[in-house]
Amino acid sequence: MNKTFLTIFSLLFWCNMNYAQDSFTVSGTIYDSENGETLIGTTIAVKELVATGTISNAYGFYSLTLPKGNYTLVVSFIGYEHQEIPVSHTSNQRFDVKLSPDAQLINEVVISAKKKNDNITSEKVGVEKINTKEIEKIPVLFGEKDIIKTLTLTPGVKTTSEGSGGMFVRGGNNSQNLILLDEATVYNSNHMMGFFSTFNSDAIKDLTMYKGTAPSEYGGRISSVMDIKMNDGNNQDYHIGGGIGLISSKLSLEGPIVKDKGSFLVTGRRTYADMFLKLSSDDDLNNNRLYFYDLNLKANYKVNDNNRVFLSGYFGRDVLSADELFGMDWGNATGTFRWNHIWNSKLFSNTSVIYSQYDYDVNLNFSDNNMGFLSEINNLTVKQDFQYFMSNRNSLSFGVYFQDNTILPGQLELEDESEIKPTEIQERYNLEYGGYISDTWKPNDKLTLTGGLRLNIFNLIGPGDFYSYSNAVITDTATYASGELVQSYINLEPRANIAYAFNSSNSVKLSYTRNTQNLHLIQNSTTSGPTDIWIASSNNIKPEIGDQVSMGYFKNLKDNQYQLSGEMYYKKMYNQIDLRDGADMQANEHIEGELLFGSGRAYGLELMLRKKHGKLTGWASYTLSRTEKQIDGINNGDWYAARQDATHDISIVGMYSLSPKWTISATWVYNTGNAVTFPSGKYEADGETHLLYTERNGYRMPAYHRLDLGATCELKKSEKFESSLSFSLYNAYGRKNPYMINFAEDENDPSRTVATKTYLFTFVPSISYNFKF
Amino acid sequence: MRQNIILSIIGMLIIFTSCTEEIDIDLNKIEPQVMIEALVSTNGETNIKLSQSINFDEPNEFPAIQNAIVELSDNYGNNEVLSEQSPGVYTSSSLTGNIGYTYNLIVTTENESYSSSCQIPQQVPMDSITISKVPDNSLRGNSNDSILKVTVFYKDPEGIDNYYHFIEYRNNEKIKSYIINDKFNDGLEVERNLNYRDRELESGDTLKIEMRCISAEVYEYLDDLNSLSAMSATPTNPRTNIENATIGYFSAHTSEIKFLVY
Repeated sequence: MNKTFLTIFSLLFWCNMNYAQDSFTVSGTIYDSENGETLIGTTIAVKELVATGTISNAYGFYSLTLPKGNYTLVVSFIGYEHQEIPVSHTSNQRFDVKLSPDAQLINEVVISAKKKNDNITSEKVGVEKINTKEIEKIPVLFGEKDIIKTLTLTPGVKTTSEGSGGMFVRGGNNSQNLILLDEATVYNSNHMMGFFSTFNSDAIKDLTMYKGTAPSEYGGRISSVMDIKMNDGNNQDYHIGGGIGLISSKLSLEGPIVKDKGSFLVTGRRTYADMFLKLSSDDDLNNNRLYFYDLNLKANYKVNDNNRVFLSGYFGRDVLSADELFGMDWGNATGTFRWNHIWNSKLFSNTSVIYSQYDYDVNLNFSDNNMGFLSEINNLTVKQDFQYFMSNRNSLSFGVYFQDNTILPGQLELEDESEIKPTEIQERYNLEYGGYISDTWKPNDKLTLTGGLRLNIFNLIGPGDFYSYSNAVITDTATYASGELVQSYINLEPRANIAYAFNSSNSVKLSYTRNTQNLHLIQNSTTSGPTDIWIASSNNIKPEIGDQVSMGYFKNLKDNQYQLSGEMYYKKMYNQIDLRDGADMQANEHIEGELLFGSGRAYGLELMLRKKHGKLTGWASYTLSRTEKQIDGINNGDWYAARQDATHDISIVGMYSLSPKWTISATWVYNTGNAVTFPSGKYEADGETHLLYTERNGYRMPAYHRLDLGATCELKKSEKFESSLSFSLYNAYGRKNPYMINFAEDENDPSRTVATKTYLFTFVPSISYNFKF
Repeated sequence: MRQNIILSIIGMLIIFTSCTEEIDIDLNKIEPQVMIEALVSTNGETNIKLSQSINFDEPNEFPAIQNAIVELSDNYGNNEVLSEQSPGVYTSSSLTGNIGYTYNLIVTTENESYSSSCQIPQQVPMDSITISKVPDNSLRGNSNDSILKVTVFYKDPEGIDNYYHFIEYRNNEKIKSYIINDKFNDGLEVERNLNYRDRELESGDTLKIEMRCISAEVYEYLDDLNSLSAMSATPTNPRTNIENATIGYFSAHTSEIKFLVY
């Protein structure tokens, strides 16, 4: 491995030397002039050279190599005034650029000289980028703006229903999404069963979701990658911001550690739904607890022009308890240390040390016994990434990573003397390591090619007892010593993108990707709950593999005011996991024996029309798709619709600024009901009526649709203080979307059976107040 | 247990906001399935009931399957063709349950034949049962109210998998049944509550508890019946131990009864 990298290195430097004869390189970092935040994805174009340019990377760094001559760089970012920088052909130069936020965002159409057509020029296909500024006006449940909820309004991304967390991307399962917060894996992206996401939008700078082909530096999940970057904190002045809502409040504090050099950010959020429970005079309710909190911390320091360090942390926890009887809490903690180093004007590197931990704890107190289930997953990752900007037509990224995982799946614990025996479930240890390399090459102004390869090596190691199963019966047992290799899997993941831009407003893109996944989620309930169990690949479980081909056509209309896109994908997934009928999941040492394996396939068409500028902004999206599974032992081994399969999915989002003070917004969603298993008949056993099922997922829930309305009022604004009031009305026409459908005997007439639906929210108004000073 | 946890969480979350109403769902019509409920017990009861499944929207009247040939035999060469005592109910005049015996059942209806076998496991004696009044600490309960707690005591044999089926009667009327395994208390002295919140007894009422030792397959069936509710993401029919049948079970079990007058 090392040798390969060395060879590549020397080759690159050699190229570089040759090239250096008749060219020079401009590089630097792009900042927000007011708060010193680095700007990700800023476009740096060259006025004199058509189709030459670059975009700033995840740390705001850019590097552009140009033939000798005099040029003007145009640096532009949405919501900021663009800047022009003259550069001349001397030696390599460094330009750190500070962009000023656009004072009159609303009139952006007039001010912005050059509208963005990134969607056309970028080679990436199946990408959604969300800037937290863009989503501020979208109405949401309980007035808490939410980046994940916003993502589900884009094509190809959906949730299954209200109150069931999880996101399903292009037919993938919710456990197949890689969710990274400052590079650390977040295992549970929801609070309170999916009513809130774990990401406090005040702490988030930028989110990129890859539904199609993700760059080779990402790996470990087969469906999608969601890369979330936290704000760095203001390095100019101290600021306090916050929001007060009906069921949650949040507060943030940011400021310089050393002005212009370093800054910190602390944001916290807590819900207080349980405070309302306390007000209840009913003893049954006021002893219950139901809340979550999260805390985001970040600090960064610029040691010198070439070195910068970052420290980020996230802690989030949900707590739920009912009297003394039942308690449950779960949460995620992550920590990331990063070191950016600029080796020279063309070579940028980042070194990361990442820790992530997720656990849940269930306590039950019944029959005078205290018992608890504990499940935990821990990992430590060390990662080294390089970006080498070889020329204005060629850039290379490569790196290595090493991850150490420890998993404790659902152990039963007892507090004291008890008639119940504890079950010891062995911890499992595994290592994942490998490297990647990816090159983006623009042979001419129209064509962009990216090719990448990622290597993943998975080692399951002892100590422990490892079993083999056949039909849930143990057929073999092997005991391994500490550090001994039990099972290893090696996977190569090729990825490729081809983009061809016919002109500045028309392009087609094609891509292929393979992803593998060694951490699997076992779930068996309608809602994806915190008690779902994560287990790693083993002698019984093979790595999940996903292959996806996608193509897209992108067109911008009316001088980039409208963006139109159409994408198609076909995805095949191997080694997919499901549970045997009636499987026992809790504290089961032999859970691997309860699993069934099969494959999945998904295909679809995604259409989107987006308007990014003007008084009216928003988008309309439509997805036509199919997602199926085939598992031996389920439905006679025939293909059947996966739960998240929805034929039609429509989202319409509109925001309109009435005046500088008032903005109104609306969203409307519609999707075909999920595939579900309903009974077809009934029979009698032991004098009671029971339901008779014929086929898995053979029925559909009724179609889901809903309209939400919102309005935001900017209150008096001064240099020092700004505040706004947000109003929203969730489910404005009171559609009774079924949360679940139950089949049972009619309570009033036991001689017949009826179907009843339970629905959750009709007309939920909310108001929240946000401030910053 | 898993089902309960998830149910309670969802219950708590939607308690304030949820509403329920009847909904019309167009369900498929299905071919009637044969439902076999076969019991062979050490208490002398041998009872096989045959009925048919019906469509969901029909009234709860399940047609009996008459004139079937029901053959029962054991592994000691005893064998009988059962006679139909009332429509769809077949009983034996000579075969009763014996501990350790394996019973074979063959049911032949007009179109199909179904078979099953089941062994009566070793008997685990029930030591005692108690009844007491305790505060209601259950999830939906109120600790100011009291509930009646019924506890059974037995010693689980060590080293073997045991499965128990308890049936509770009030004045000889069946109230509820419970299934228990020894996953968490193999070989221990067990003091087990029969959790039932709505239990009501008046002074002078007779509480009857039947303890059955059942086979693993029957436990599986009864467990499925309890847990594969509509709350499960993928509800299915309980796993049957009858070959060729979609639904039904054959339980050969021990039986021990204790009474308590409240």
